[in-house]
Amino acid sequence: MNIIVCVKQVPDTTEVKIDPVTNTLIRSGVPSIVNPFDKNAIEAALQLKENYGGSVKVITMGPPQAKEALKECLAMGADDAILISDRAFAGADTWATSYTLAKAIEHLGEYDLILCGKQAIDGDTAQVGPGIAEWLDISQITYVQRINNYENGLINAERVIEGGFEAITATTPAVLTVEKSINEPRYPSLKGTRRAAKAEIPILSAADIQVNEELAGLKGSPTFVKRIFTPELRNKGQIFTGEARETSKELAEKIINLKII
Amino acid sequence: MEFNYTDEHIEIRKMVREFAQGVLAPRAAEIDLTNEFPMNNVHELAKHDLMGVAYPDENGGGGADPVSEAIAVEEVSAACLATGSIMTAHYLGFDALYLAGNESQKEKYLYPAYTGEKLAAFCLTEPDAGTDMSANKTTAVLDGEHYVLNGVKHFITNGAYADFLTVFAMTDKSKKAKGMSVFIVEKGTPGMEIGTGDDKMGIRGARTHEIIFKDCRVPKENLIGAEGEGYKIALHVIDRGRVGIAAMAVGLAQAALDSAVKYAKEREVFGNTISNYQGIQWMIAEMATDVEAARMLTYHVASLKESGKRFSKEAAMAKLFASEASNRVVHKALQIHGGYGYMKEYPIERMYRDQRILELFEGTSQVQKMVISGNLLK
Repeated sequence: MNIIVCVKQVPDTTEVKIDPVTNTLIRSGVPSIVNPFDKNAIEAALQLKENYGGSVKVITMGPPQAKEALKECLAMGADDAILISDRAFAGADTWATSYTLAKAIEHLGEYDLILCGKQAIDGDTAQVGPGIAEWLDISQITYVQRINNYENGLINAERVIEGGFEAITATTPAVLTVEKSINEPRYPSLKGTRRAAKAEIPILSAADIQVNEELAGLKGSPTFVKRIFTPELRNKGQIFTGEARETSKELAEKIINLKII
Repeated sequence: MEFNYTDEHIEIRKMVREFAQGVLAPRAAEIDLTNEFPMNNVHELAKHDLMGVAYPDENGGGGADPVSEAIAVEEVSAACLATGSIMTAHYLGFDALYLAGNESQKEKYLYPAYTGEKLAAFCLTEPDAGTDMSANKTTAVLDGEHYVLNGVKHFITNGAYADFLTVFAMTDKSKKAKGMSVFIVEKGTPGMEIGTGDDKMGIRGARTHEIIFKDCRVPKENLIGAEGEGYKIALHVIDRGRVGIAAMAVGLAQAALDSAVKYAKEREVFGNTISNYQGIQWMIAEMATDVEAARMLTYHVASLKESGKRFSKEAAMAKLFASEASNRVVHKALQIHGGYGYMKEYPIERMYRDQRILELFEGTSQVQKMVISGNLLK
């Protein structure tokens, strides 16, 4: 089973530094980690490989320092890592990112499954995984909490919904985005770490993967981040105590007086 | 000579630290309280290739260098000294095979020890023979296809759980030290009995037991090297093992220092955090200097290990210095914690108890001084 895992290197901090011109994150100088949900995706891929054989390739679209994230995935046990990097990709929103990753995946050849973390902890959109599936015109199962099995080219997984889950069977190739609850990502081993430290990670540029530069990066982004800020702490609000008949009247009056309704 | 960490050293430290803090540290207090040998920790160490770090990877070892091994021991020990002790006792337990075993012994015992598939123990110490190794009373008499072992060992780390033990016994008492030989004894061999388990001050999870040999028949193929080579092998193994103990001391001391720094930045007296008072600042400075000096000496000796040259004096110095430095550090760290440092809720209480063994086992500080002065005054 050939699996491609898409990962993202994200800042390990709640304080974001923003480039005031592009309104995107300044990544250099801030300590970085592999997006935690992507680690769940790597773990899921490694477990599938243990069950069904095959290989696990990990890719990321990012600046040169994203190689560190790839090395961590190699140390966990991924077979190959490729960095998708080009100035043309900078400032991409989820549309342009999913386009670029889809082109990279097409370039890489045959695959049975694409795994992603459900969302990145910096952007929190959860859009790239589904975007990749759309660009590649393949099935997707999002918010996967459990992969049941893979047989005759069909993948069966549980998808989280409010109050329960859906069991979905999809044809492969497919994109699965995974929940934290799917597994406990393994710690890298010493041998994995040594292998990763020595690994040469190839870089694919926009030209290598035949990306239309109009559709990538800031240029290819129909949306842009206007502002990122920590919301102000709200007041605790007012608590009405007493009998329900009385308090509900009081509450209704208050809401009407405040012209909320 | 300039000391520099390689990229690999940095990556290995990061990997072991995350693993140790995530997997071993949360269990450390419980192991201490329940006095239980943490077999699950042993399995985790094996899973992450930490049971044979600096041994050849073509045989299942980690393939890293001795400095990496020291770093790994240090980081494991910072999280849980008991687990660090189990790890170094395992290395001690199989190193004789690395130095003097034949190929068939290596296939059967050594290579599985590298991967952690088999756990090893070093079985030398006796009630009347600790510092004075040559006062060994356990005998090994050749009888047909077997050596028959009789005697009592004690304080054996991993002894009750190991898949095999390297046991030192006298094949010829008249030759004194030159009459000592070393054997591989498999777990469950009839005539080898696990005796009482010890109730220790610290590193309680690293259970130690009495091991009793009563007409224990060991296949003669299990003799390591030749008869009479046991003493020399023991010394060589213990020398090499001293780096591991030094690394344990560095790890523990670092953990104690970190916890003291954290506490000092939080605790307030007279309207200021105690980190603002020079008395505390000076203690922290002394502790940090002790840790760094111990670390650099340890890594220097670890790198000597790689050259294959004998380094008894340096190994003894590293063990002596690091273990005694760790004593100074935990003492100050506990003092900085004030009354809280005396309470089991705070890890420093356990670290303080754990630390003491470092100056006692694998050669007391006094033995180290004998080795060092012996080298200089001969």
